[in-house]
Amino acid sequence: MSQLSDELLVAYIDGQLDERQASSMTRLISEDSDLAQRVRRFQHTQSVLIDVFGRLAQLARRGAFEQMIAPPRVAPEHQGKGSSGRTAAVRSTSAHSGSRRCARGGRAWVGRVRILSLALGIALLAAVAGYVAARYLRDKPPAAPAKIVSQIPAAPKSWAEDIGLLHSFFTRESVAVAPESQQNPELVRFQLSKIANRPISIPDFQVHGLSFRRGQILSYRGSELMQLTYYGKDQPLVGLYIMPGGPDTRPFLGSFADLKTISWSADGVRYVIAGRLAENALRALAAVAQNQISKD
Amino acid sequence: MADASSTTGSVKSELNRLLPRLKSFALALTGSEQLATGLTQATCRQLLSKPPRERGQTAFALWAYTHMHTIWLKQAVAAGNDRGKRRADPAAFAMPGDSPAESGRNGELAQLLAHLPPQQRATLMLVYGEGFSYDEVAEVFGTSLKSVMTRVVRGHIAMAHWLGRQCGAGGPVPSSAEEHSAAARKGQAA
Repeated sequence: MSQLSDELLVAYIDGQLDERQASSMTRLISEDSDLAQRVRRFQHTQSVLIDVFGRLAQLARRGAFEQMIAPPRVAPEHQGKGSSGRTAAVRSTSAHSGSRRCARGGRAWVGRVRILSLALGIALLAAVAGYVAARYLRDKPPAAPAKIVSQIPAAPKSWAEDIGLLHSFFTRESVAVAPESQQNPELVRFQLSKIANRPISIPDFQVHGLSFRRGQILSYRGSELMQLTYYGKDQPLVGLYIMPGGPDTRPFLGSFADLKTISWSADGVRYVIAGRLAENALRALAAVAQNQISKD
Repeated sequence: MADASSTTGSVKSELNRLLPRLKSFALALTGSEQLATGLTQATCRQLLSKPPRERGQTAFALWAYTHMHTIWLKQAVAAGNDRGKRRADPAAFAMPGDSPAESGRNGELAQLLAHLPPQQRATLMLVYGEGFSYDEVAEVFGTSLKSVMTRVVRGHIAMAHWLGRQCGAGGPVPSSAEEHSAAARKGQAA
């Protein structure tokens, strides 16, 4: 049995080794079944970790972070102890102002009249100020917002970063296979079954107007990934991506700019369908794929 | 002067784009929604007060994460808390589920994440949530590559244990956690 450390094996499956180290590791793993088993275990936990932390990162990106970097207005003692959930700070602030409103509501009508008079005075002043501003400051540009607001979209990456990411998916083998082989369903099916460690047919989406066009093997973090591409006369390009690993999960919708994805895992194999399609269409394709694959 | 203000503006806009990612890193570090919001605010204020400099997007993100980690360390020291002892709130890692079974599973997963040491959790977030390289993560934490590798492996072992328990409880698939950790111990000894 090889004495290679877990750190080295995990670095290998995470794609952190340089090309020479990685090819040595690939050779060692192919010669040592114990090592190959350790790698498979780490690949399994890796797929779960990617899934979990990817979902957490996605949830944080979707969240609304109101008044995130505005100066704090609420005194520390009011920043709700025991609040939980993603909007705890916001909820604590509104709860505090709500309790103040309740306290005011309980006072005598004299107090209310005073407040009303004050409010009227402020409104009058605001109207005068508004008139003056409109009259004399008409040509001035609007003031910059004082705070960075909520609902910020996911951080777009640079062109070079995106291309770097894209390039990382390709290997010599991706390019070496002749195009006619990539269009041969039997050969693609054979390669797919090899990657997934079980027989898997190419899902047929003809009913949805999508024809199978090509299948090619890519690389994702050191593991093989099969890309099946489909398109139809009036349908956009759709990709079905298949690779081993991961516990069973239900279909999960995601999006990247105008591209939508649906991902799930079944019987130790992970699937993602990506395309510029409506959510319902993606769900339908996922259901078709699940149904056809489960029959294999 | 105009140049300086435009560069400050670009820092602001870079920060604006990075904000959700910063927040998720803060959540991983603090294990609390409230503390994460405070830490993100403190980091943003500090970054905006720094003299502006031209940076690429990745370099900017690394710069921001490094600052956030430093602030978190200082806060932990000031609060008299050992970095590893502060208990995280599982609600900070709660994920929705489509069914009661999935929600239950996600709840257990949130418990697992809450029990991980903060820096280990944050390392896993950067490696598997953000796709950073080990070198970049080491830069963020101001630590060695070996420490990063150790944290990642420990994360794998913790996850393998959890998956093993799930399997024992009739959950889906996974590999043997016992074998996994035994192999890990053997590897560490080697």
